[in-house]
Amino acid sequence: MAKRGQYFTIDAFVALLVVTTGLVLVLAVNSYTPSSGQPERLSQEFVNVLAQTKIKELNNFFVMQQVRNGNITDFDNTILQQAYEFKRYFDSFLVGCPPATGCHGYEPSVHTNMSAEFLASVTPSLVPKQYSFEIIIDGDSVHGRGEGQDTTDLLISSKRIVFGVVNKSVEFWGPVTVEVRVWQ
Amino acid sequence: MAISVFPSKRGFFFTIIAMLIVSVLFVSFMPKSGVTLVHKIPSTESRINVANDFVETLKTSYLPMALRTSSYSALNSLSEYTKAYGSLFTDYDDLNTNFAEMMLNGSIFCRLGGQNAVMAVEDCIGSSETLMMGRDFTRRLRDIENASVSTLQLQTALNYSGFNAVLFQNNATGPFQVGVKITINFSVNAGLAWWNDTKDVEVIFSFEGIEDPLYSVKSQSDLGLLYTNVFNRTNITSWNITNTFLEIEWRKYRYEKNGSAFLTRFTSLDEASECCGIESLINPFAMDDAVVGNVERPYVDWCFFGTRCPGDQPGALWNISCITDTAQSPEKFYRFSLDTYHASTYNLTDFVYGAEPDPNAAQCNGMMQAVCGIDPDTPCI
Repeated sequence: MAKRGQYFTIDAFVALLVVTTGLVLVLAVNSYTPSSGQPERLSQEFVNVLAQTKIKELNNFFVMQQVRNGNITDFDNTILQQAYEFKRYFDSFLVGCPPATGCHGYEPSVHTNMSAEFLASVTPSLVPKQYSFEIIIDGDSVHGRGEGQDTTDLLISSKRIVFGVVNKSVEFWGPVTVEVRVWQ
Repeated sequence: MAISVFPSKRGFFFTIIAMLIVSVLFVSFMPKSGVTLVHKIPSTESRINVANDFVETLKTSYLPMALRTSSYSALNSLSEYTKAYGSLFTDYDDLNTNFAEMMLNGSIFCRLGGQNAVMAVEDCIGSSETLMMGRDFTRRLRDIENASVSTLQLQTALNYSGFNAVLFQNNATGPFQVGVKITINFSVNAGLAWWNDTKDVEVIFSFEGIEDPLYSVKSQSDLGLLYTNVFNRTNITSWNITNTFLEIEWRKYRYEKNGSAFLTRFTSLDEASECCGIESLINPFAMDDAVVGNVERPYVDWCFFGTRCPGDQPGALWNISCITDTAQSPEKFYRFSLDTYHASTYNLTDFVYGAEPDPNAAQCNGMMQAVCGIDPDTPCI
């Protein structure tokens, strides 16, 4: 009798296992959704770091070089503020640029490419290598890594409003939009 | 014969156990009504966080920065206006009213040429240079409202009630800074959450770089010629004859409890400020020697352009050895004189003299070596 009892119990478990496995397989095949948790957090933290880290907290060769050359003068600027100032005052030619929509004067191939070089010097270690990203400042794609933005299943975008004053003066700029896109 | 469904008690027991296990699994994995919300919570949380960050940024960074830059531009514009108009504001209330209008809207009640209408300050004084265009505080508020809608999809409304901006100087600002206070009502609507608050925004900033209205207005009315001087704080802290020479040469400002404060210099009031009085020394070389030399008053700006210091009376005004000169340019400094108080303040008591020739003239060559050639137009004596 004892053996029969064990047999029934094991039989019940086996039957349960078969049914559960079948259900799991059916549900898994029809309801695949990429996990958004990690890229979402990564995108938000990435833009937070860019918006909160100050120049005086950075220590890399490009930044030191620009400080020595006098191109970085306000060490209280955040990374995003400095990137925008590079874009506006070094990489763009604004004189004579009509204020029509789309006229940013941003021509890094003609002028300098300081904003992209600056971001390239500070961003590599901020985003894991398996993720790609793009930083768009005031409507212009300034710096990025990786491809496949158009074909990825999941792309997370985080935006920030950025503003500042030039060299602690009264020359106010902004507010402008900075968008960070992260995908895998 | 009785038929039993459960031929044995143990079979019945095992079946019940199996049903219980299935029931537990079923209950555990049964969809719950809250599951639909679980998917929404992260995005809602994210949106609220974004909105909260925006509100914090607005309060702690954007509004103070916008107020500071707009206020500085407004004070600079008021200085330009008084220079063009040739008259100062009657009192602090008049100054504050015009400041609020200028800072908030970039406009002023223009009295130039009898226009007597509110208009943009550039139009009022006919300036081709941008003073307030696009720099007024209202414009900054509208900019951030538009940016919050287009970028973060947050409906933001920022308002100030009336012209409540107030200029001030006190011990907190010190003599070389000025403060501005304004009350802002704001609301940010993020759908599920709504922020609605009133905040007093106060900023304190340096006014260096603005032209001194006392010089630009009073020089026109008292001397008939326009002279300007820009507010710049001196870094000289100890006073002797060579440093006084440099103070005249560089036309910078120092704290003086009997002097007129920065805000007072925008008004017709001629009064001392214990906390915030400042003064500079009149440089006849940088102005017109002949015109300036006719004024027989202490060559300290608030004395020179005011009425609180003694005039030319015996024992009241003194020439200074090796600084006062009886010849006009290129000699320095034609008819420069100080009253007893200032001679003492600048540690020059041993170097004052009256109508007689300079008693220290023979020693000037050695005494003034420290300033010899310090500027291109500073000759070695």
